[in-house]
Amino acid sequence: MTTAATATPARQRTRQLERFGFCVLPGDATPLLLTLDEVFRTLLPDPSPVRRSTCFHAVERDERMAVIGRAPALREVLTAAQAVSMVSSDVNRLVGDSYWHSDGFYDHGLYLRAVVYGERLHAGNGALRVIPGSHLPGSGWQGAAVRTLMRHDSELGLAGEEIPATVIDCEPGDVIVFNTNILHSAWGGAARRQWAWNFTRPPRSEPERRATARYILNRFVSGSVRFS
Amino acid sequence: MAEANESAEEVTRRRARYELFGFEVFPGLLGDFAGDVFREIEEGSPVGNRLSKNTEHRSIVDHPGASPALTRAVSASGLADIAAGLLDSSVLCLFGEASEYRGDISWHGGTLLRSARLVTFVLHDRPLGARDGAVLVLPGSHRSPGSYRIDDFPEAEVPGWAIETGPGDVIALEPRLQRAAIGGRVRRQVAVTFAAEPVGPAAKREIAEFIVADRTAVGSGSLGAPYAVARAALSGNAAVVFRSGGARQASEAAME
Repeated sequence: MTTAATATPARQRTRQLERFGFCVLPGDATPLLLTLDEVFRTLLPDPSPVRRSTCFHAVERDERMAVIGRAPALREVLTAAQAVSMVSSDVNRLVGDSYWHSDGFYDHGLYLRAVVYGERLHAGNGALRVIPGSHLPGSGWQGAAVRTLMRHDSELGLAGEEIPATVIDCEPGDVIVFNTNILHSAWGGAARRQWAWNFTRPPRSEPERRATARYILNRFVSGSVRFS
Repeated sequence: MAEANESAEEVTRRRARYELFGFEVFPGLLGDFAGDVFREIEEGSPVGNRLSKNTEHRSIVDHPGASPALTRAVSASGLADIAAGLLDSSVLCLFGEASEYRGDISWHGGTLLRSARLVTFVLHDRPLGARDGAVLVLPGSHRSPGSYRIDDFPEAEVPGWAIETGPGDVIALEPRLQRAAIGGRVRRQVAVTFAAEPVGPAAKREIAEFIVADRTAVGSGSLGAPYAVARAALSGNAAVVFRSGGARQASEAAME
């Protein structure tokens, strides 16, 4: 595996997000963890460590979830990307693996997901892993390639964690931002807490307006959104 | 002998991995030969015959033809058969080189090839780790190398996948794959490149131009087969017969 570099200047993080589909903002939400922990206990009070559960519309249900607006590096990255419109948010108790997938693929627009984990995560216990560049339209990571990837056991003879990808090790309070087009997964995961916010930018064209409408619809209506 | 005992299903999976990610690793494939191959370089063919643009990189051109040890290794390991399996085609051994690297290798890849299909097998003289000269790649980037804009990105910050290797391990690389290496240790490398039988005039011309343009393929009589491919394709009179198996045994017919 390859582990993501984590200490880079803000401008470079933004560029990394554009070029490779993800970036890490070390400790950006650490001062907010106490508040986020309270939100988590309010929205997902089930203490079961074995059952995966999600609370959608987290900001609407608990306005303290909007505290992420105080994360300075995230604010800088989102401002640079002009993706300052929060579309939705959710809180998740994740358990076990998340298979290889993208959160939908959009040729137009920019759709970002910022996540914070409550636990220290690495390759062996459920850290997010991504295929850098797979978010790019025209990168060759659509269609048949994705179908082959998702059938990695039978078609490639590889377990999910053996796929060559970048593992994003993280500490509680790190903010990971990724383009939702990117192929991602998590393997070997124990129970872990995740707070997540989805952002987009104002549409710049008619195709982007349609794509953004589809994205928002998927986030709020279809229930097909998957989390890792 | 990676493929001798492999099932057709495993060969298919290897090909699927190579096509999807742009590389495949053959652990220990040349483990029995690597010592002789690099000893021969050390004793008989001092690296330094030719300096390339990168002064930290020196290479011996046409190494397979000049190296009995490598020729034996290529033959005994069934490298041509492996290439044929990865490319799902009859193949021709184009050329090879022995190189010595000192320091980093910048991100590169994305050749001008569009239609031609190649595979380059790489063997190193020592174990290589992620920050110690191992080949770093962006998996899948060979399928659309132009989409990956890394030329103005800090090299060490590119999130590459490290192909860590041990003694005798061989890496099969798709030449379009974006790749690099980080690490200052001196290491030697032997690379041998095969081409799939080109389908259509565009692929033939690409291979021809690739051979002519590549410094490793020019100026050696023992590279007769690929050089003849180039001459034939560029003259529009190509009738080269590619064969699976038997590296450097491609025959030629109806040449100019």
